[in-house]
Amino acid sequence: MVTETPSLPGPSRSGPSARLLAGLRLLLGAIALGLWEVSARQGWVDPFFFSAPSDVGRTLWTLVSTAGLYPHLLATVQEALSGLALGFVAGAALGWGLAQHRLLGELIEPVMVLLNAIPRIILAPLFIMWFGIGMGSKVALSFVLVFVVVFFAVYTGIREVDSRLVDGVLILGATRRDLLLHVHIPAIAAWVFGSLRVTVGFAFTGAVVGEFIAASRGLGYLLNFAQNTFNASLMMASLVIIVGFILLIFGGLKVVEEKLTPWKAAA
Amino acid sequence: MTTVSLQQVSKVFPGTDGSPLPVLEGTTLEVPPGSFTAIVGPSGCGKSTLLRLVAGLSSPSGGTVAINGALVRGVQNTIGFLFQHDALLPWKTTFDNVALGLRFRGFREEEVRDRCQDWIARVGLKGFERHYPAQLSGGMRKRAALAQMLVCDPDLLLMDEPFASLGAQTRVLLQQDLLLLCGGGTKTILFVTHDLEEAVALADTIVVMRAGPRSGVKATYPTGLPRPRDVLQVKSHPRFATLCRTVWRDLAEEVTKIYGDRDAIPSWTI
Ligand SMILES: Nc1ncnc2c1ncn2[C@@H]1O[C@H](COP(=O)(O)OP(=O)(O)OP(=O)(O)O)[C@@H](O)[C@H]1O
Ligand SMILES: [Mg+2]
Repeated sequence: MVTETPSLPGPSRSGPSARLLAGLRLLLGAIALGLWEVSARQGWVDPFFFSAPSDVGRTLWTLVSTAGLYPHLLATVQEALSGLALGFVAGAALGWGLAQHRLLGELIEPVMVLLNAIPRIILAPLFIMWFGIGMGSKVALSFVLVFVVVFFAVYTGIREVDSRLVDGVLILGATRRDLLLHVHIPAIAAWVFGSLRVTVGFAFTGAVVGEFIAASRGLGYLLNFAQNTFNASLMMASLVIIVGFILLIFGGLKVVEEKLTPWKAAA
Repeated sequence: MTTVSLQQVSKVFPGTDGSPLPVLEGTTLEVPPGSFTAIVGPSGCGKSTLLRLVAGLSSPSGGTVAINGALVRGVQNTIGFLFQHDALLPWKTTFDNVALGLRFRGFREEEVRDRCQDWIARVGLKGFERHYPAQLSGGMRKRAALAQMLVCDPDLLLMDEPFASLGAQTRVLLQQDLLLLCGGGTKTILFVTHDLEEAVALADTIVVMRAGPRSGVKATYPTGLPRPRDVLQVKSHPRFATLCRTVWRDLAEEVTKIYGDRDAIPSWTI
């Protein structure tokens, strides 16, 4: 059995070096914020355009404490998560479907490649024209950003499943359903988790950009409002909220990923 | 008990440059029930291809492959196949990998547990039930694959160089196990190996294949060595060395077709 070995300097360096790295990153961030604050106070940069960390912090606090933020946050999160969920389901379904039918796959793949190649965000004005300035247009934008990425994750994930693994389980008596459950889904889990991070970012991009163009609510609307009123602190605070929220989701995803794909952690 | 019969089987693959690659041609082989047949031949002659044809993982371009008289059509899921490559599912633990066949076949969970634990212990993997394949050594993965195949107790075993990557001691132990298990003449075994001594020590019949392309059976040698056997003791049987030499002479001819220089091949292991 494995016995407790004293930690040796050398191969097991990852522990302390990871902690050191985190500390250094924190330090770097603090220095950058400090420099920014000092520059603003000394007048090296114009606080009107650049604000200052203390001002951003105060605005942030006002937003959070006066509940003025929540309708906006709620709107954006709703749009982003709806777009994400719909895009995910539709992308996964189409990816799975096309991977089963070679002919259909070959037929539609070029369309998806084209959709993947263009910056889909240019569809924003079109969607606002079609779906109005309410939530619909933002969900649609999120959806189209997410959909294509998930489609490719699932489509290539299934197509590149090791055929030798498939042979092995077929010999062991697997049915089509077993194959899906025990080979295809685990094999694409890695691809999907890899793409999930990108898609979460995309979902929020779609929602915020949509709001930015035309909306009456949402963090994008807040950004637009801040821009029109030359309120740099409000703009920075909105950005901090958006970034913070996405990081929160990333953290959650990491936990779920480690739970659902333990063999990756083991490798 | 199972018989396997190949009649005038050919297999043509589409080559990389568009020209067809005839790997097997006119291959005829009768495997009697309960026999242990070892297949030897130069690398690339089509041994793995032959096993895949028997398993129904690939279909012949000509001729017929039959198991128990019935034509092989589609993947055979009542046989055992030990692949030359690693085929454990990377996302399942040793236990869950070994359990796959029984679970697919709908066995009760208690029976699955008992049989898997038994086999995991027999291949010496006790204590590694919860390890993922990436956490096992190459030899341990091979042993897990062996347990995965044998736990389902199939009558026909197709084994593609199963012991090739194992250490010498483990190899002898597993060869011994295989003889104990299957030497009773209840299982039909097709066993591909590059190790001539292994072939002679284990098999009843040795099939030598020609160098490819258009490979087929060159010669068949019944070993006539007694059963039950012991892997180590059989090597001191008076016929053992003679058999090895005879088969090697035949095989060397084929191997030199590929490598040219006969002096460059020093031993019985190709
Ligand atoms: N799916 C395939 N498509 C095209 N060619 C193939 C395919 N599978 C095998 N071949 C070719 O068939 C020939 C025989 O391959 P096979 O794997 O059966 O050889 P082998 O006798 O098992 O060799 P080794 O002893 O090295 O394992 C090789 O030339 C190989 O390139
Ligand atoms: Mg082979």
